Order: sequence, then structure tokens, then C-alpha cells
Amino acid sequence: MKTDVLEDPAIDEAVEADRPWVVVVWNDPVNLMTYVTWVFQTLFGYSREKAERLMWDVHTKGKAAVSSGSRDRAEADVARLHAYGLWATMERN
Amino acid sequence: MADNGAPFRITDHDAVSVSLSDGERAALRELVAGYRELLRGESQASDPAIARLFPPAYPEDPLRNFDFDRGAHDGLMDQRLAAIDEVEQHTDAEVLSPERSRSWLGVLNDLRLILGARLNITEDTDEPTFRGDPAAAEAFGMYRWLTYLVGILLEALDPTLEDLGADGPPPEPKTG
Repeated sequence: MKTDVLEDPAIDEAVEADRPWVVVVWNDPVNLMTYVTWVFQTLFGYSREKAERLMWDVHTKGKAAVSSGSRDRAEADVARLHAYGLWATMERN
Repeated sequence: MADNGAPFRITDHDAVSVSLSDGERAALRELVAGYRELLRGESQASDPAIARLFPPAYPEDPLRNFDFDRGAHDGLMDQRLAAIDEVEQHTDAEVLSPERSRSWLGVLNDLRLILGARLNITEDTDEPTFRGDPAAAEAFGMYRWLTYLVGILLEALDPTLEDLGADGPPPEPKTG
């Protein structure tokens, strides 16, 4: 049985029934692990633990769902992540 | 000689002291001027750096992406130009306010993204990659210098980041 989504704690946590848009950050070979962690903490106010976990998901799995919400909210988060130089996209889950 | 050579150090009041040589500051000025030219220039379509600085929000939906760009592109451009101004006007600074140090961090990181895109950097890129191409080798040298600066500036802003990654990723939480 495929349970990919549930097996991914980052995506699992981000998905809520009434919040269909998910912001995804993709791994890239340039941004430093420390920088990505710092951005997640600075931009979203995430705890160090959560920011680090998301960073490791990006680094080892190739991507992580970092926030979710309405389309407008997700677009705003994507734009802010782009301003910090992270490779972010959004998708409806 | 604990931190004497560090290019960035946190001081009192969360300001960051800058210790760069004249040559390093001149190199930085040149890189930043090139960055401004890239944003203002007309060769954007052919430069992979632009695609990296302004990635699509909807990579598989050109129409939605067009709308996203219409709403976000100018603001992102203005933010980047403002950060460039901020760095350019203070390349001689000995001390950066917390806010200014974040502009520096953003611009230094953008410069890495630009060089990384142009050099097509991957996880496996190292010095031998550019053997026989002096211009690319020089750009890669700049890239590595910027990597060093970004790393040190981050550690100045948050000393706990220094330890990150030493032990690899944490164990996966069990999910049933």
C-alpha cells in the first residue's frame, strides 16, 4: 500500500483539509544548510528544531512542505522565499 | 588569535563588525555592481542567473505563473535593488547594524546563486571541474570566497548554526 504522504512528517504536518495549497522548498546545490535553516527560522518564526527538520528533508529527500494555506497566503510565502533565494514552488495537495 | 581573522563578528547590541581587506572590499564592490547590471540589463533572457533569482511559483502552469509574476516580480526586483543599494553604499563599513547585516547576507547569498547558476554548480563541483577554463576557475574562486563569507556571517548572526550538520540528519520519527 502506498502511504507516501503520511510517511513524510513534514508534509503530514502541513496538510489540513481546509488549507489546500502547500508551499514546497526544493533542494539546490548552492544554498548552505545553515542558510536554509536560518531562513526558515527568520521567515516563518519556526523553532530551531522544526527549521532544522525541514532543512534536512530538503537536503536528503529533495524537498519539503514548509507552509500551507489559502492560495494568496501560499503565493505570499513563495514570494518571500524567493526573496531569500530559496527555490520554492506551490501546489494544491 | 581566536577570532582575529574572521571577516564578520557579532559585537555588542547585535551589530556585526566587518574585517575585510581593501582588496576584498573592491572585489565585493565589483560583484555587487555586476549584480545591479544584471538586474537592470537587457541580457536577462540569456542569463541562467535570472531564472534562478526569479523562479516560477507554478512550474507546470504557465498561465498561473504569469499572474504570479505580474504580482510578485516587481516587488522582488525592488527588494533586491534596495539591498544592493544598501550594500553598495556601505562596502567600507566597519560595523553593520543588525538590519544592514541581513541585507549583506541576502546580497552575498544572491551573488552565490548568480555564480552558481552561471557555472552550473552541482554537489560534485570542485576546483578540477574548471581546469583549462581560467575565467570559470576565477569565478569559482569568487564563489568559494562568497560561500565562506555567507557561512561566517550566518555564524555571527546565530552562533548555534556552527554546529549544524556535524551529526547528519536526526533519526526519522516513527509514523505508526
